[in-house]
Amino acid sequence: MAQTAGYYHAAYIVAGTLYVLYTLSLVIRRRRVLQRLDALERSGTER
Amino acid sequence: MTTPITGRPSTSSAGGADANTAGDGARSRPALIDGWIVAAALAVIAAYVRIIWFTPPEATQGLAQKIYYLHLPAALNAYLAFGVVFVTSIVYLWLHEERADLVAESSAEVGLLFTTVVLITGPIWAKPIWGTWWTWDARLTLTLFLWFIYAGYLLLRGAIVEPSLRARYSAVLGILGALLIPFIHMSVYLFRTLHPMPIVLKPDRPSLPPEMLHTLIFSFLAFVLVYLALVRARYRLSLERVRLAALEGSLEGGR
Repeated sequence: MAQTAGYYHAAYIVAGTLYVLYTLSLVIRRRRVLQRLDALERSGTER
Repeated sequence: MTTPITGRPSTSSAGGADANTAGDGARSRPALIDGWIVAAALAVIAAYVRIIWFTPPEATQGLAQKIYYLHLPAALNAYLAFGVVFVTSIVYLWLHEERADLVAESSAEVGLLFTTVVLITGPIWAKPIWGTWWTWDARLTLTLFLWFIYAGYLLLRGAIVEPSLRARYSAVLGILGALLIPFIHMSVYLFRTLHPMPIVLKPDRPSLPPEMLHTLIFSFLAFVLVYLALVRARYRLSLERVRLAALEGSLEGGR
């Protein structure tokens, strides 16, 4: 059997990292939008 | 005329816990990670465990063959994602329903993620098996072309400010891009190519032993759940961006 374990581990680590990074990017973008919405809604009610 | 998303889109309409509590302006922050993301993460962990510890390696390729359980589900989910872009873009052009445009945008972004995984895991498998990271054969080149089309789709969306114009142009590109998918699937039959022939999605029975086939189906279903969870989260972000743009517009109009 060919010794290909390094490639196998690399593929699983890279794919897992991509999925996690994308999920984190969604969380970070959504948090920014919610913070901006909060700020605007507060400034709207203070008027 | 475009059907706008009116009112305040509740996060529960996109499946999350309701963000807004009734009462004197008291407002709780919606959860940034919901049950769907957690369920998808658990499903992928279960798939990884099954692949690593409970599925035998292939006799000649060794452990590199197990890359297949990541590569094929990512490819099929990319097809699914761009298929959804195709359908929702047609719905947008037909009914001018803004939510269809937002679903198309969300699905295109997640589809691009899956295509990126395909384009990275493929060469990692190819290096030990073919002896090269990349070859310009039909399947690989068309998949790279698909990646560029949907990267262009997202760039186009970022470049056009006017919402209805952005939705119309990107719907046309989204439909044209998805027309490439049947051609990519058939490319191994139409051209002489290094890429293996389909061993599951083919007219006769899958040519995989049952334990490998079951692991592949398990992994595919886990990544379908990942697709649904990510599109749902991305769609919710789009709804909140629409709400933010509307609020900014109304505040500027009031000045």
